[in-house]
Amino acid sequence: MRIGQRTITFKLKEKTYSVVSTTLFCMILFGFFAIRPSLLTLIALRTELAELKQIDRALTRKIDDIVLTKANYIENASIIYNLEQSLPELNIEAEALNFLSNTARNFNVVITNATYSGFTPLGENLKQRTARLTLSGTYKDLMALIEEFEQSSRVLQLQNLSISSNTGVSKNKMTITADITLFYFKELQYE
Amino acid sequence: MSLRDHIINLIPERSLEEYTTSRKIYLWSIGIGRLMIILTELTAVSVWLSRFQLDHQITTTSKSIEQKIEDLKPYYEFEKLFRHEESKLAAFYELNKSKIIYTKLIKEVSNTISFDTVINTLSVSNGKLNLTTKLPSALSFAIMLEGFKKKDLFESLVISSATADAQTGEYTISLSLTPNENWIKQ
Repeated sequence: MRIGQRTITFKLKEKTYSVVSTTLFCMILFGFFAIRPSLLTLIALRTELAELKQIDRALTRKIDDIVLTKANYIENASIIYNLEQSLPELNIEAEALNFLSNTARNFNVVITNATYSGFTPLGENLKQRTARLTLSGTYKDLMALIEEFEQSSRVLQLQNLSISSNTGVSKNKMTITADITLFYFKELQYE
Repeated sequence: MSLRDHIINLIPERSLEEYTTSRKIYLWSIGIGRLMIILTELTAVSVWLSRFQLDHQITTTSKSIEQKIEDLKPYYEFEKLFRHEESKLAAFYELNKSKIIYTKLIKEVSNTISFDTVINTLSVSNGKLNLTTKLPSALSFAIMLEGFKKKDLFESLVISSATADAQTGEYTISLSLTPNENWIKQ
């Protein structure tokens, strides 16, 4: 039984050896020089198409989004305007003086002295400048003014504040010194 | 020779290995070789045909992209403006988040100290509150500290200086106070 099996296996091997080796050689040759370039071209084209379709879908989404955004932007123009007022851009030089003096006037406080520092950059988009103010008024008015500055929608930060009871210019009036940092946003540059 | 002498034999007389090399190549070529060539040609032709469809799809998609880019051009300035406003809004929120307010704390300090205590100077600098008070007695100072503690106004309190007037019995005390964050954050 074993001898018979071995004989059959040997004969099969002997018969198919040259056929199989020739077939394999030709398959490698054809596969490398004929099938491979064709398939590579096909894969490259399909990849390119997939990428282009992805770009196309992204652009479609972008158009939809931008149209919707523009409609919302126009609808919320008042909010945008308030934002402009809260964080103005650098081209408005007199804005700080106007804002501070108008607010002080509303609270019966007199700005007796005001000095402004130059602009210093703060991060990529912001710039800041500090106003040193000497304010004169009653304690109540001064505190109300300081509170107004703190609660103001205009973005600012009260850095230093000095209240002294014995520096009053007249009866019931006092003087305080305040360092207020005002923030500005970078100007939009159109090409 | 009669018909009976003609024997039809469908089994090959010899096995493949018994043929000459040229015969072997010939037999292989008209058998497996033919099939391989047909398969290769079929692959190449099907790829070549599918290229037409793919090229067409690529051209159509490219044209669609070009058209959409053209459609987006009028929105370019708006997009720039919108991005600008978007980053401005982010900066606005960030600045407001880190904003420190002092009036609430100052008012609370004024309300906490007793009526017989006089604030000489009050200043706020680098997130610290410096206070110089004139107190009629040590008890007033204790009441003031108790009030600060009860309202949890400050995280730390440092007595910078303390002087007592022997004639009037008044105390002048300077304090450096670190406010509790709850009182200075919006």
